[in-house]
Order: sequence, then C-alpha cells, then structure tokens
Amino acid sequence: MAETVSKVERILNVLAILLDTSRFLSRNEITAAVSGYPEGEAACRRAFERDKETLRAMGVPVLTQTQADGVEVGYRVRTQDYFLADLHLDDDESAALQLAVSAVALDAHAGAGALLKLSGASATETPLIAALPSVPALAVIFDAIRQRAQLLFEYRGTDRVVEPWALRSARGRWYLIACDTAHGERRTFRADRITGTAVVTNPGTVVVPEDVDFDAVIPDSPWDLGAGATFEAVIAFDPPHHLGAIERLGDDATSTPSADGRIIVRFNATSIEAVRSFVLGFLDHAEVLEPPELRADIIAWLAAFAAKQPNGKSRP
Amino acid sequence: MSNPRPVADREIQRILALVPWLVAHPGVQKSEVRERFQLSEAQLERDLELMLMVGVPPYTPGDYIDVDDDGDTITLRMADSFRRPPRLTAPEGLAVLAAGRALVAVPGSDTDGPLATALLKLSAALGNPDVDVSIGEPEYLSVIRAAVETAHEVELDYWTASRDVVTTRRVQPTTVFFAEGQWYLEAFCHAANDDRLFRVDRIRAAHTTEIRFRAPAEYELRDALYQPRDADPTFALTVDPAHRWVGEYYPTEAIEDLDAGYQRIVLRVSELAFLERLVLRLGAGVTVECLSGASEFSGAWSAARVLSRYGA
Repeated sequence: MAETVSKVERILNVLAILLDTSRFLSRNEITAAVSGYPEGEAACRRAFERDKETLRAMGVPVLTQTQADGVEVGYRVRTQDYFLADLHLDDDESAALQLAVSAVALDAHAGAGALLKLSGASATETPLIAALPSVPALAVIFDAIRQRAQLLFEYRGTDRVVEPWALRSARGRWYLIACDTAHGERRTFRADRITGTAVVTNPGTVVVPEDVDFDAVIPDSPWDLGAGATFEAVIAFDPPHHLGAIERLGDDATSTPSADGRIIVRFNATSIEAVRSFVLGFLDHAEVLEPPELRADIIAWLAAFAAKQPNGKSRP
Repeated sequence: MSNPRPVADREIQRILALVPWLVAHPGVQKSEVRERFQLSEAQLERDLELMLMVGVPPYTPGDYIDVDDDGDTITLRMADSFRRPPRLTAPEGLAVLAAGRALVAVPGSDTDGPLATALLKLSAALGNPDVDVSIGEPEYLSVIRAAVETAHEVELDYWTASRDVVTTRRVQPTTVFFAEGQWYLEAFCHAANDDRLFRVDRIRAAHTTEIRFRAPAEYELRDALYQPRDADPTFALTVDPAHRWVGEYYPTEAIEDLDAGYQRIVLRVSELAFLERLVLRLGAGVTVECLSGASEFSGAWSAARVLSRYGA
C-alpha cells in the first residue's frame, strides 16, 4: 500500500501539531488532522495513546489538560519545555564534549544522542581513557536530582523514599547521597545495589543543603557504609594475601604476625555485610576471628549458599 | 540503561536533531551531513523524503517542511516547530555530563579549558544537578601517560600482590585507562613476550628509557577489563530478583528471564577464583553450574573449602 503513512511520519506530525498549537488540542482534533491513524474509534484511540507514550518515553514533555473528573481532554507541548536552550558552545567546547563522550565509556547510545542535539556531532574513534560503571538506576537518580524530586526505590530488600542530593562516582562505584525521609537523616547508597524500578515523584520539593561536603561523606571503603555501630574486625590472613588486604584498607588497618604464621589484620567497620563481602574475596586465605557475630554470619552465609547449589558434588 | 530503543524511536530522535541542525546550516553539503550524523546515502534520502511529509495545520503547501535539495547541498525551510533540538533526556544529560566530569578529573587536564567551560554551560542548562566523578592519581601515572604519548619504553618495578614479589621489567606502554576504580597500563612486556595488564598503583618505580617503539596503528578499544575468550569455561548463574544487577554488571553471553523475576545468566570466566569470589559473595540468592570447560567445579565445594577454615 503506497499510501501507508509510517509510524515515524505520523509521530513527527503529532509532535509538530502539539508544538504548533497555542491551546490544548483534543485527541479527536489531533487524529483528524494528522494522517495515518486507523479507522474506528477504539483502534484510533489506542494508536494515539501509543504515540503519546512514545513521545514521552523520548523525553518530550506532553502536557495534559484534565477535567475535574480526571478525564483527559487536551494535549499540547510548550516550546519552552521542549526546545533545548542554546548553550552557546564555541567550536572548542563542542569538540571537548565530543572527545569526552568518545573517551569515557558510560552509556554510548545516550552520549551519542546528546552530542547530536548539542552540536550535530558524532562520537569519534579515540582510545578509551576511562570507563565508568553503567548502572540501571543512574539515569533515574540523575533525573530526580535534576528535578529536585523525591525518589522511591528498593535497597537491600527495603522500600525507601529519599530526597536525593548528589551523585558521585568514586573508586569505581556510583553513590547516591540523599536524605532518607523515614529517618530524616543523610544516607549514602550504592547505586548498583538499588533494585526494582526507581520512581521519581514530587518534583520541585527537595531542598539540597548547602553546608554538606558531599565528597567527604563518600565512604573510603564499603565497610564504612553501614548504619550500625562501629566494631573492630579481626581477620587472619595467609601471607602474602594480607598485603592485598592492607593495600585496600590503607592506614586504618594494623597488622601483626601471629604464632601460627598467619598475619592478623584489624580495622574498624560499621557494616557486617561489607566486611563479609571483603573477606570472602580472599576465599580460603582469610578467616574472621572477631567479632563473633561476623564469624557466625559468614558460617551461616556459606552454609545457606552451599545448601542451595545443585547436586553438591563431593570433592576430595 | 543500555537497552536499545526500537528502530522507529531512534529514527524519530535522529530526525528531531537533524532538522534543526539543517535549518541552522543552509546550503550544507550532503556529504558533511552524512558524516556528522553517521548516515548512509539511502538513509539520508529517506529522512529528507520524510521531512517533506511533516507539516502543521492547515496543511497548505506552505505549511510543510521545505527541502531544497540540488543533489549535493540541502537547505531546509518552514521547519518552525522543529527549529531547535529537543532537550536532553536524563540518560543523555547524565552521559555527557559524567563523561565530561570524568575527563576533567583525569590528572593533567586543563581545569579552565574548553571542556571546563562547556561543562559549566551544560550543567547550568540541566539545572545544575550535583554530579561529580573522582579518579585517583597513582604516583607513576603521569610518567606512564607521558611514555605512552611519546612511545618510549619504560622500565617498571612492579609488585605482584598474590606472590608478594617486586619484579623489574621493560615494557612498551600502549594504553593507560581507568576502569573499575583503578588505573591500568596495557603494555607489551619483553619478559613475558606478550601483552600484559598492570595496575598503575602497584608500580613501585618507573623509569622512561631512551628507547622508542612503534605504537600499534590500531588499538583494540576495550570497554571492559575482561574480554571473554571462546576457550574460557562457561557457567550459568540462576539469580533471584534481588541479584538481577549481576547480569547488568558483568559481560554476559546470555540472559534469560525465568518465572517470578529470577534470571539465568550465562557468562564466561577465565579464572575460577573470580567466579568463586563472585558467587560466595552473592550467597544463597544464586545457584551456579558449569556449562562447559570446568565440569569439576561445584559451588558447594567452594563454600566447603572456605568453611573448613572455620572448623565448620
């Protein structure tokens, strides 16, 4: 059928009419004006809803006029909401952003999209200088910070409502610094441990405090990220594995040789989970001596893991 | 965030960026447009044809986008609705802002140069979201980067943590990059007669020699520290909903959605110790089985080996 209007053409025309109008247009006005909508009320309505969602998913701010009873009666897109402000980038600045997107790995597809909009440029072939971890929740966190909005997500099995303040990448991880509204206190979350779908809500309600040094609240190590009381972890390492541990722990750790030839490393921590993860990274070259809760935690953790494995083969 | 969007969406987004750019550059060569927007000849012609079909009420001939195409150059008129590109989406804004912040954080970057001023403008347009990237600066980073730049061989004292030895070796440094929180040097090592990856913070001394080497004409651009090889063993991890991030985080061969939010993740692993560390840390939310290459592997046995340290 030569007369078939492509979906792309139809959506572009819907956007054109929504941008062109100076008042809200009803669905019927739009679908009557724009060619390519199917015959029949129901099919036409469904197609329009899909087009609207497609536009919104691409970040087009489609405004809705709603009656008192909640029924949507009109749509438009205000140019001041839609148009990218002119950043007045000079050629050197455009080239610098182009190089940054090309030399730093994060989200190549989104980076390329940004470059097209900012300067009509593509990423270039250049050796990679840095790779930042790409984490599913990042864009939503960023969106919430940008909109001064609250953020809902699941973290370590608990639903959280937070006021996001800042996003930091340090030591190869992304951290969200936010106020946990349930406790009214500042918390630092690891972005890669956010599970489920994060949701942005109540835009414009978050006031970011100006007197907090966000870089100072990024933990030096994951084991300082816990909310619990500080405890001293005492770990016995087979040499030379203690050296890798001390390299990670830095000046906060002390080490002493023990009579059995192992090296005893002590450091302060607040998170049982993080120390467990750290110690398990050394497999059977490390053993937790203190505190007893951590020792018990590791034993129970490994036993639970082993019990789940398929046909636990026995090995010498 | 790396989910590929449907082709139609990508086409729409490309056109929404292309139209304002063409409006701002009347009489531009088609070849330049194809290069900038990475379009084939056929794609560009199709996009231009599509633009002719876009208009606004009352849809008289003067209400459609007008494409003046003389075969070599293009001039666009009557594209008032699309005279500016759309705002950056959240993933786009973050991608360019974070990349810029990372590059400016690389030691030796010009903190007052074009990148810094571009970031000021960009951040302001995005509403000044508080986003920053820090990148460490190990002691010998600048020496190594300079040697890569000028293609001089370097003599390294390098500490191998797992054996606690410092060895001296001469290398041809090809690439320096930051990944997973560390700076790495990729270099041809004369002693090993092969390419090796070094952690820059484990270099105990670095001395740039007078010896020049010919830098490889083409780098293999790496986007991950570990690049799976066909000979590496494959494993299937079945993870519960709380551990779905594993499939996003590590390079995988396949991801299959199972019932109730569970996933089956297939990955290649060159070192069994890496896999053991991963699954023991994940705990009871994951089960692991070997698909090929290491049939003797058993997660239960890995756990038992560590448990034996605890007399359990």
